[in-house]
Amino acid sequence: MEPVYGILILIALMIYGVPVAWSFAGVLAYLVWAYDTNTTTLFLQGFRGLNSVILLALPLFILAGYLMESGGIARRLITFMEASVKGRRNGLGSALVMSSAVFGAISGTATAAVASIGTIMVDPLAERGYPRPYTSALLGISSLLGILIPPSITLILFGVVTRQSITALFAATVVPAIVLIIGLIIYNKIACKTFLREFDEAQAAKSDDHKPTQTDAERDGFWKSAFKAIPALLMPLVILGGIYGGFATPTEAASIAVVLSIAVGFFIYRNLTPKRLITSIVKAGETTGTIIMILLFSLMIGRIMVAESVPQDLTKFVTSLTENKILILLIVNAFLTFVGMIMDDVSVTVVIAPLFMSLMVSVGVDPVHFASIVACSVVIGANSPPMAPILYMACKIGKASIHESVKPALQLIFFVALPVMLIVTYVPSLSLFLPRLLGVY
Amino acid sequence: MQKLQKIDDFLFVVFNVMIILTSVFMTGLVFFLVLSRYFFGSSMIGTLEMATICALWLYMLGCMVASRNNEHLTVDFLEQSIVRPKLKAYYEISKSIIVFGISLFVLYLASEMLAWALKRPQTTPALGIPLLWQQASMLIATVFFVTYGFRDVIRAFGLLKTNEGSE
Amino acid sequence: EIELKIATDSGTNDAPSGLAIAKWAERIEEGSNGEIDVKVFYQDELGSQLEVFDLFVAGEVDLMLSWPSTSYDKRIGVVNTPFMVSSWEEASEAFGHNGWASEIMNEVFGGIGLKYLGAWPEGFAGVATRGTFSTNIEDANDIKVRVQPFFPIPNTMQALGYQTEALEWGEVFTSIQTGVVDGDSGNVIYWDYEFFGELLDYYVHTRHDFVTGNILANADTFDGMSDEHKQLILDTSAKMMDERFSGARAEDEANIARAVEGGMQYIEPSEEEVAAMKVAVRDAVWPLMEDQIGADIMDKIRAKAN
Ligand code: NA
Ligand code: NA
Repeated sequence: MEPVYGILILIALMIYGVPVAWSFAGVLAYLVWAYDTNTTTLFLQGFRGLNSVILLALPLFILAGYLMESGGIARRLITFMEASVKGRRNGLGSALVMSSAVFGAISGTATAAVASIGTIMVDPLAERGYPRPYTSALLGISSLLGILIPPSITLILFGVVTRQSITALFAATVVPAIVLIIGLIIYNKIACKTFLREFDEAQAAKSDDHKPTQTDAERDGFWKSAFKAIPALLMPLVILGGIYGGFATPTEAASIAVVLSIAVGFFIYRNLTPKRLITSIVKAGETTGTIIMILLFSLMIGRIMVAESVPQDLTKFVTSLTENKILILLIVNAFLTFVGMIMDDVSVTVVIAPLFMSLMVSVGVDPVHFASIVACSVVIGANSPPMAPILYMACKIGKASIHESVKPALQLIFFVALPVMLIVTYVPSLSLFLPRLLGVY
Repeated sequence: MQKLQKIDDFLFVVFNVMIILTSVFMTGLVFFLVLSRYFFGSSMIGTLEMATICALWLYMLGCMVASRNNEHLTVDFLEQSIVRPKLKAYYEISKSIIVFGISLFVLYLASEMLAWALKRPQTTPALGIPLLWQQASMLIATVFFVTYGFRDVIRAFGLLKTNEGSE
Repeated sequence: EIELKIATDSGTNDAPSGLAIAKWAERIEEGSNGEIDVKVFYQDELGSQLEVFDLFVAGEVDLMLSWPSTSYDKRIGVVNTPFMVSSWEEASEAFGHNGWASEIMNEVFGGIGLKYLGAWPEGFAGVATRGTFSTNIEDANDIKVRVQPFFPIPNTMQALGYQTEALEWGEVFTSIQTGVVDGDSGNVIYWDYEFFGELLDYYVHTRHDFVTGNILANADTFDGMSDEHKQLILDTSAKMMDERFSGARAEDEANIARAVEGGMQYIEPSEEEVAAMKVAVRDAVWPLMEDQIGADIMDKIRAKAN
């Protein structure tokens, strides 16, 4: 029963407003007491977990994300994506999705994408008839493409706690990401018909000649913005080409990403200044710290759980309910979605996912496939209230009320993200095809 | 109080400078590893070890700054829903005491790590650097966690006082 | 009822090392007439190699079949002394009961609170590569192999002419696949064929290192036992070692045959080539070991080694 009490304590502390990292430390204290754990080497185990070359990719990719934002790389990419829909209003939503996807290929987190894309695109979209709550919700979900498209902080964390190859994990979620992109674009095409018509009718009734502000994309047009985006578009080629072409490990590729984004930001786009560089480094350090603190306590909790055979007990419990693989996966899907509502993406990845690993292996689910399932569930979790950090951030930047954004967010989850998670769960080859094709798994 | 404020400001600057230095070294070392492989054919043993030492300090400095600025990820809808100032003060007091208590537990865990490190000293595999150089970052961080936790308790009680004055 | 925890840092429940500790646990349970209850933990179940070793030194794991890191004491690097023994006969003499190497091990492990119970040999190490291979020091210059980062393993491989890259085990497969390294080094053929067989083309049996696991007990745990239980631990571990010595050589040969059947090319360098390696490596690495491990231990090795 201790793990169940542990989870209840965790939820209670978090809902009471204790910071997530400290809530984990609180649960750790409970588990140490409940299991009478020897604490001689407990903190040392947390240290061992952090002291990892593979984990080095995390601060580096976070730093790269901040630098791409402050160095103007993000803006060039977004402008280019917007220009490529040639001013079609129903295409603007697709451009937002595509921007998130391309941005995802250079950044490891969702937050960087929300900040850059939100700042640049939400206002122009609002002027052209996209309701802010809808745009914020769409931004919230699409920004999570950043964790499905490599590089990905979530998958680095998953790889560190479950000892899987980062290179293989990175390749696993590419096809699921494409499925999600297609789903979001189709959904947007359908959804925008209604609100764009309503917007036009309202405009006609007002009959003023208010023209929306010209965007960078409209000013530059397709070719010019494409030309400007070339250095930015080369970044994912270098990063991913480095990893899959055998020039660099993910950690090394991350350092290349940092150096390149500084070079491009300073010398090509000239948006980066020494002051902005310093601000980016400090902000990245703080973001890294908040993630690491959750990871540190989770690692120690994980050690106690393992020593007390909790994953094995969980496996026994679930397989005693049913041995049907499809049903078990459905249980796991439901559970991941549920904890995703009340926990943030990092916590789900580093605490919940490893608990299920032995169950997954015992019913014959490939660990790399499971990583893909977890990543898809994180897309849902990060946008499903009450604990929806990405959605809230998107609302803040999109100047939309959280209250009004919940409905479009849940619609996007129900009609797109959830079906994508189910497809990814029940069609393993979607996740395993690319790693095998690239020969990295 | 003003003196404490000055110390805090000074430390904040120190933390930020150290974040910049560790980030630069960490990135530089890993990037150097890639370059040296292509230009000199071989990579220097121990480069990654030094990079992870920088990284660990960076992690802990990031944690410390996040704690100082109270920027750890938090679910705040309970906080948002409490409007009465007095109730809010009691809420903040209870919450800060919980965090402070937990931070004391973490300090205890860290002291166990220190005791073990003194009993059975270890070194890094490639360069033979004492592990304590790295672990020091975590020990220092936990001391600051407790300090900031205590600060927040004091602040929360201060909230109660200002409210009493206004009522 | 006493509870003991046995762990290994290398080998899952179906690997030879995993099977060996399971058998060990079974014998202890049987021999104690149910007074001792043994829990077995395989590779990665309690954490990484370093983490399990922490738990072991701290006494939270009681018995181990270990390929230990050198983090607690550099002198543990003595287990990786290159070209210390050159044949199974020499190995058996050095590492067998009261063998000269066993005495050194006893001393080294005793320094960090562990009791050495015996060797669990795997065989002689080699270099497994993809696309290219070398049987001498000169040709190895263009080949980059993965090494464990523990002293003096990287130094040994560099003395053999190779470029080295320290990678964690989990990253080795993809690194070979993508060409970050050309292969793996320092293992018996079992691991290279089992884990990277589909990628690797060649296994050059350099025999530069006699790879052996170490059967160990936490000294506090051991000293706290009744005399009867102490004897049980000694007997069962001695049996484990003897069985391994008689079986390991045949098993290594069977693994070579299996790898060859699976399409790997097995290459033995000529006697002259091995002799040249031996001289070069001893000249380059042993003086370094003197600094790290101590002249007294190296003197013992020098006196005994062929
Ligand atoms: Na990404
Ligand atoms: Na959520």
